[in-house]
Amino acid sequence: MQTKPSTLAADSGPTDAAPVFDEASAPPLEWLSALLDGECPPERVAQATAAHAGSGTGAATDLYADWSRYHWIGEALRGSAARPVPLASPAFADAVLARLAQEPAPARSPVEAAPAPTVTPPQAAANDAVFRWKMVAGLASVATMAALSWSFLSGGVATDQGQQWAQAPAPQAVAVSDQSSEPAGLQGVVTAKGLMWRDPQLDTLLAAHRQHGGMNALHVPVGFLRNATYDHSAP
Amino acid sequence: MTETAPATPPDADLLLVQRTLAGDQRAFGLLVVKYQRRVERLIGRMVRDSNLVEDIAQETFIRAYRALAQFRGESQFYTWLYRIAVNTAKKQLMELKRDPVILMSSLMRAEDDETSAPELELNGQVADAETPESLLASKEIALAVNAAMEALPKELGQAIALREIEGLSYEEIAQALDCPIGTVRSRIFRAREAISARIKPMLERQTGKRW
Repeated sequence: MQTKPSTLAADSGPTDAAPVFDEASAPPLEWLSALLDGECPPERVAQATAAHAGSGTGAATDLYADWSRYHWIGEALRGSAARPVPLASPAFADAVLARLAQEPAPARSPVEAAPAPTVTPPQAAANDAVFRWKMVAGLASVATMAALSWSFLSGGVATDQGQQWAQAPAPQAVAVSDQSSEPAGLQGVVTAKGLMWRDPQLDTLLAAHRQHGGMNALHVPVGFLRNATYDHSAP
Repeated sequence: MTETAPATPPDADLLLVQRTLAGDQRAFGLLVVKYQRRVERLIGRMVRDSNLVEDIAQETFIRAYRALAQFRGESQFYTWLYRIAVNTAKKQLMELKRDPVILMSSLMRAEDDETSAPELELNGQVADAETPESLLASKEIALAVNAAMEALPKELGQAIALREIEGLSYEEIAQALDCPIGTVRSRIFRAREAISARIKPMLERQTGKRW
């Protein structure tokens, strides 16, 4: 295959076998001819429309004349000689473009923005109801555990408080100066937390039944908790 | 044989539209030249006055230029242009308050205008600026084209015949002639140039215009 590029002037006669034509060296009118046939690549259209661009004031008219002639040759080859095809007038195109020179350039179609991603609400699943019940059950379990834990901690604190009371220095029996305000049978005791009226009989009963000192939040005697919290002997 | 145009690939028109939108008015001029006669024939069926036909045709292309951004290539360019031409003609007629004479004629005369728009005639003849002399001259030029075709080198004549008469693509022609597509493109171009060189003086004599 030959690599020598051929030109229009050199090929007025029979051509050699399969010469290679360099696209870059193709004249603009060749791209105009290809454009007529729908065989012009988009990147070459500018070259096609630029044919005769350097030919002076009649450049556009020459372009239109070539274009019109190419079309008409095809019509004549396909049509009947008895039915001629009227030629388009390049002057008409010139007149139209002269008017268009007064017009603003046609606005490009606005770039169609990609549709904003629509946030579709999640569709309800078939097992959503079951899931909700499961969530409720789970939360209830957590709440129950939290309550149990709190009661455990509260009972310990209470027990601790009982221990604190037990560890607290024995309340000093302080004679109350005003005997008239003292309830009958009760003994006023001044403690770190203030005056406390104590019933001696109740104190005796409590001392004898220490196992009832630790109560949980549920006020239900819990055997092991009572035993666990009762680990301190009162002075 | 009736006048039959090879189906113009819509891509070519779309390329010219895109080129126009890019700011190249010469690309739009190519579209004007390509469809001038078809638009004028269409309008000529609706309007008597041949001068008005040309004015309306110009206005059609002006309006098409303004609305060019709306052409998206979903239909053929001429289909889109056709609607503009019909609307423009109707608008002009309303403004001029003319009542066109509507004569329903055979749809076989609709040629390549694919719509069902009624043809409007005046005295049984489609309004046309062609005179008998110009028609005769055009016939002579058509004969010259065929004569020039016969005088072409074999490979050039083959290439342009396969393209213009058989309607093959460049790729199909390349396969038929066993040559690269670039060779096909060049041969067709050179054939057109050779024929143009022969008929150009005749065209200038006929119309007195610059061809």
